[in-house]
Amino acid sequence: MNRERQVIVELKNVSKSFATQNGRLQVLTDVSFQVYAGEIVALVGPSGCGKTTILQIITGLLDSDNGGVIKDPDLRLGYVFQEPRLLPWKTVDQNISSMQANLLSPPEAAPVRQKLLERTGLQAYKDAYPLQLSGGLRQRVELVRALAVKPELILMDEPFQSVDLALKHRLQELLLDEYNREGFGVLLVTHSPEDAVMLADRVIVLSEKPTVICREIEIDIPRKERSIKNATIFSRLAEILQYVLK
Amino acid sequence: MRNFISSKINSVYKDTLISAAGIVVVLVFWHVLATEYPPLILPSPVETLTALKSLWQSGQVWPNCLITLQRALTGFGLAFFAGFLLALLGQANRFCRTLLRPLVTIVQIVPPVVWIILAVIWFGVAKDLTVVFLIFMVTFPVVFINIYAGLDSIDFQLVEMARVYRCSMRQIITDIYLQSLMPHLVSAASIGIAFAWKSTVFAEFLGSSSGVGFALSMANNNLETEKVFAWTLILIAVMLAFEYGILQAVKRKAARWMRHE
Repeated sequence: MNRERQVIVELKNVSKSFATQNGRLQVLTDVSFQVYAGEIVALVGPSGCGKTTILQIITGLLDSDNGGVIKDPDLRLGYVFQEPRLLPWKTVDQNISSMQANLLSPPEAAPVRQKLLERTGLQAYKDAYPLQLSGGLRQRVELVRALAVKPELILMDEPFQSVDLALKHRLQELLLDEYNREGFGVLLVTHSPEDAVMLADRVIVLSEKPTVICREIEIDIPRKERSIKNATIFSRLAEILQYVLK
Repeated sequence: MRNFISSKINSVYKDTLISAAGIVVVLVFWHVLATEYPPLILPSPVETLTALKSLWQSGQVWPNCLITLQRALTGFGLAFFAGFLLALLGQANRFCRTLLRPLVTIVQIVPPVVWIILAVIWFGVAKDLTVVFLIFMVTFPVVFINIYAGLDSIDFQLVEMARVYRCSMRQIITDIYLQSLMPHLVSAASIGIAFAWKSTVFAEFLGSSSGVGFALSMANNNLETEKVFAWTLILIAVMLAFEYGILQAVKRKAARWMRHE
């Protein structure tokens, strides 16, 4: 990994707690890491360890109690939610264009949207409403909407959790195709160590609550050569599992 | 696809035939029953149509309908505005919510006849305010409850998504809040207008000197039962025209994204 590259997001000693009936629940404790431009980083950890909270703090939907996020205020973000959050009263095309409208000029937005719809096989569905689509197609629209804003960083919150294996591979292919073409950064939240080692340049392993970073693992193998049968990949996977299963 | 469209057309055609058959059966039953009674008790369909024709020719239909419609829309408009505003307040503030919910329930369970008695006492007979007051009191709870439920149903995860993509507050209001509310607004309008229409006629019957309700009252006082039936047909026709001419189209437009096919 070339460390000369530009840092696009940096979390510095971020802590976050939530009020519960039994007092405050400490979720994140002094979490610090950086995401570089054009890098895929996976955040792996047990359920409820605060992975989504980290994404929400980066987007500004939540404030941290201590520490903070350093990023360009104009950093263009795409976000893929675990369950598609599409506006049901807008067509596929309108869902994408209405979110582009705030980040791209109309002459820039239309061709980007058009190309993505064609490349992802969604052109035939562009006038359909989300309720008329299968769950898989909706998740594809969710991904295309994130890509259509020409993001510098895409935040992905367990995007493959509720889709079947075939669709998961299709969505990962789509993501990597666009990643190779556009070179945006990706921060992928997943509870699947396998997804993390197959997609990411770097895997950050988080502990149980109160969450701290317990390990950062580089995956320094070209993606084309990654396979679970590859000895290095297997050892990285085993290393992650060692922490996740602790 | 062709089979699907053809079966859909067949199904619509069949439904229309069944509805028309139901109306014909009622008309025949009415006609047969009318032969057993004097017109004072039950005028026949033909006598009703003759009365309708004479009302039309006398020029009473349009002015009375317009007055009734104007009152119904005024009362409904006020109820809609107040219901919308108070539902917003109730959602935004816990104190307002706790204050409003029991009051709205009380207004809803008081029988309309009580409101009309109070309106006559407070505002007098033959005043527009008497009629509008009744419409407001009957329609307001319906509007409030529907819009309150609509505000409850807003998916705030969509608002979060919109904020990530830097949507402005204006865009969030028009693209998310108003669109989420639309089915509830249409439902409130549909039920509210029907309530308002019935309440107007009721209020005019008891406490007014103009409008369709008053004309019904006059026909009743003069023992012109065939005119009572004729005015009833006019009331039904206006409401059906409103329902099928305007509301159905608005409902279809508001719910176009809910169709799964």
